[in-house]
Amino acid sequence: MTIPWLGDACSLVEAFRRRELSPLEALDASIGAMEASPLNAFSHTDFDRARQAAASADVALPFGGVPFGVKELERVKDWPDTEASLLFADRVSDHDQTSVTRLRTTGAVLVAQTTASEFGGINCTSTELHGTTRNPWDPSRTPGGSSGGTAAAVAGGLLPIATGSDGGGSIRIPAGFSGLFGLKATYGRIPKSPGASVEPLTSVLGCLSRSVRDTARYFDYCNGFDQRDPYSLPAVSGWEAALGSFDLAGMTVAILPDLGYARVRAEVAELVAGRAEQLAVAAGLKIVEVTPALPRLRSEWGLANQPSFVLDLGDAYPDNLEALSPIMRFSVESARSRFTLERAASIERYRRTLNAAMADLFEQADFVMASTNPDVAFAAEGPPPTTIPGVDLVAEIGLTGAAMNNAALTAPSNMNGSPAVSIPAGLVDGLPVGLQVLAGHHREQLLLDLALVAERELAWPLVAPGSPHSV
Amino acid sequence: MTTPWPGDACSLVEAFRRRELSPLEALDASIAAIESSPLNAFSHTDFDRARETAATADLSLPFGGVPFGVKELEQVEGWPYTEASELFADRVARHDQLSIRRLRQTGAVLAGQTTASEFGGMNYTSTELHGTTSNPWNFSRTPGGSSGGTAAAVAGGLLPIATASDGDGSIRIPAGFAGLFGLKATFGRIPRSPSASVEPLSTVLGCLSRSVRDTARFFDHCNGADQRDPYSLPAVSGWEAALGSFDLTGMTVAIVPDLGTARVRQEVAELVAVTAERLAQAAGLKVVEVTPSIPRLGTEWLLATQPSFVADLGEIYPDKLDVLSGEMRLGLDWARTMFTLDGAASIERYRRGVNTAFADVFEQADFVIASANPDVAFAAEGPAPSTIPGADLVAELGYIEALMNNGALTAPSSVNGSPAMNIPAGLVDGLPVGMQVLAGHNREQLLLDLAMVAERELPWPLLAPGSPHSAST
Repeated sequence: MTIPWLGDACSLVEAFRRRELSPLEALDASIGAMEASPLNAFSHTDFDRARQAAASADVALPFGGVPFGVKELERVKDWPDTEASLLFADRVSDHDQTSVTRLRTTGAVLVAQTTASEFGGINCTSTELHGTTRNPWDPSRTPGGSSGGTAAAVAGGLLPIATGSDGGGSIRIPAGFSGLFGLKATYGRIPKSPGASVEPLTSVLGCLSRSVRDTARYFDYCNGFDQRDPYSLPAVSGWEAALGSFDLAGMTVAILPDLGYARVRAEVAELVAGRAEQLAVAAGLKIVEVTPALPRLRSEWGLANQPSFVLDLGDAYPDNLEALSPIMRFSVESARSRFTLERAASIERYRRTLNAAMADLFEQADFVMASTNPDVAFAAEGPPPTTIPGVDLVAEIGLTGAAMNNAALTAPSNMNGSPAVSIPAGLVDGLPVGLQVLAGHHREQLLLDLALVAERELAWPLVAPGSPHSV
Repeated sequence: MTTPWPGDACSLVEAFRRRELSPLEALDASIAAIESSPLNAFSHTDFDRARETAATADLSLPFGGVPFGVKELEQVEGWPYTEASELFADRVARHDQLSIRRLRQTGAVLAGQTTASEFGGMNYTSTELHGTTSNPWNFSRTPGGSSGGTAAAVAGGLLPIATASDGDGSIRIPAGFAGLFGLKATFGRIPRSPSASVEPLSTVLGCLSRSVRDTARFFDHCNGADQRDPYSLPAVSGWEAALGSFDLTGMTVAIVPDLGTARVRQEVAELVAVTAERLAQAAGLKVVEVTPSIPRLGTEWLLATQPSFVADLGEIYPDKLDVLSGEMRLGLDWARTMFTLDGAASIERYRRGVNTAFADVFEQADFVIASANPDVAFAAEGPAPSTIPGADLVAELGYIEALMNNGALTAPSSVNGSPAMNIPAGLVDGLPVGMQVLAGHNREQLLLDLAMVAERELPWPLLAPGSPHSAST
């Protein structure tokens, strides 16, 4: 085997069990491809320890011997813990976080750390610390962010699966830009312990994968309450076993490419609407008209992230923020001048309004289908766009509104805490478009079953054309 | 039947089913007692509609025909919805909140609204809007707050059970002061739909009851996620059916009357410690030494509660606050000057500190037993005490933190979101003392089983002596 496994993780485990190849062979193929890759998907590698783990892997385990990437915002013992920021360039984690501890019990071989945007703050992956990560569909484009390295590695054929996290779209946005499957679960599904933040009540852990069953298997073993994350949910079992067992026929779906309030490029919206209808027909869903009334994503969203960010900055706040990128520095400094009781109350009002609007929506439809992103992937180096082709968003909705449009499709599910998936929907300009499906709290298994229909009836390429590329 | 049912709600349903009395007879006895009661436990009554419901009650339902009180901070269609504040003196609820809809499905007969402190903000129940609610154990004392009317009604023999809520002690504090059982469940157990606040992530719904099984039955039928409360938890069933089925033997308990973070009157701490040891022995628990390092309840928590309060005030904020009580206005005015990004970060720091300390504690012990209150009940009219006998807390801690000692035993579980309950522990100065038992998230059923042991081995009086009292006597 000279190239890495280009199927999903579950099929790789099956190949191990049939002795068609060994975990060490699979790992060495990944290492070879990673070392030759032009994508800059990794910020740290741990090949020696990975080889040791692969050599003794128990292939009877769920992910026994599967090479895994871990997003660099997660904590793995003895790996860098930098938040992708120069601020913590030299910090090393002294423990595995709970999700990583659980992942190790599946037999996964932790190979390397995948790049992310600084503190996960924006939707492209280009940092002072690690440089620019590229999209395997077009190296001049971003794979998205913040889980950009994970998306590049999995879509680029380097690793079959890697972890991600999503506080405003950071799993779904890169899944959309890179043509992968990604689930943002119900808030609290996988504990963020130890050291879990409380605010801003949006960020969830997960993975990006080539298949639905890979994600199901990941959640089977990583979900479940831990008391070091007080908002984590009681364990749910049987994710993979129940795949395909839910009767979706007759359930209702609303097709709203712009979620009723975001600005989406016309060609993207049309592709998403067409795909959504095909999927609805294939799954036997009933298409319904709804009247969405989601509140416009406003500066409260950015403001709500700041108190917890201040704590994460540690001693650097407030006087030593020079090492932060300008966009992250601006966010905290502007919050410092604006945060008042009235602003905090307006965050609360925004959340209540959004929660009511989402509940209204899910009273009218079991699923809502929208685009994952306003457009296809933009320049790898950024900045996040403030326009879509043919429309000057700054002129129409102001600079803040235009900047926020990048998350306007994904952030509502984060604020509400309800689950959503991104399913590859096809191409515009030769680049992937993501179909986002939203559902009410605790309905991830219905989302996975719907994604399974898409996987079967509207199959997507598991890796970008020609992957893995080499320099 | 001339006096209201003095037992628990479950036994009343059984009496109905045996035809020993009818729901209407039970209700009329409660109405008569409510009308002659000196406790001022009710802010609104709905006797005509209650009589109609009682007359047609389906006794096969879990609480079929049981007269229930509802705390006035909850929304019952057509009933006042005032937040116990003159600000909203004329507001009427246009709908039942979800917990009320679920409660109606149990066959409960909603008889009246029980008094609360203004916006649930204080640990006693005396408001400009409704006057002062008294403790049936001693009329000069408070039944606690914010669920004070519920505590007075249930301990005072007026109704067998009534609803309550707890955002930093408002179930456990009155249960402690009035000698009742009260469970503050895991955050999200009962949805607060349809208009659930997000912050401060602490308030839970529940009830105060005379027996453990009454609370179990209430949770059986009121718990379970609803999408209008995004933080509500998936349904758990079998609360009552599972009572007594958990093996507590060998589980561990730490006995820390002051929770390592509060100041508790000596006599109260001693009674709690002795009762805790007896309970541990009766349940077969292993007593372990644990030193909790819970951060002191301070101004961060006061700050955390204000943004949602401002949102609740609506257009009244900030220019028309004159009718708010001095205590509520003080907190608001203080928060207005203190609420900066750094202030908000201090809330996050406090919460993370509490959460870490709780996880550390529950790694060492399955249960922690503490006092529910720093002392027995204080004056019915308030103010909330700023000291305990034998100490000068203002001198030791400063005024605000001395005041915050009132919630220092109960608020930590609310901040952490983990469950805790109050079990009557005996008397000091002839007044009830509450023993609080804390456990990790989602372990309410273990708590209830432990409370069952207390109920059997260390039984408490279901009512205050001589209840129901009548104003004319």
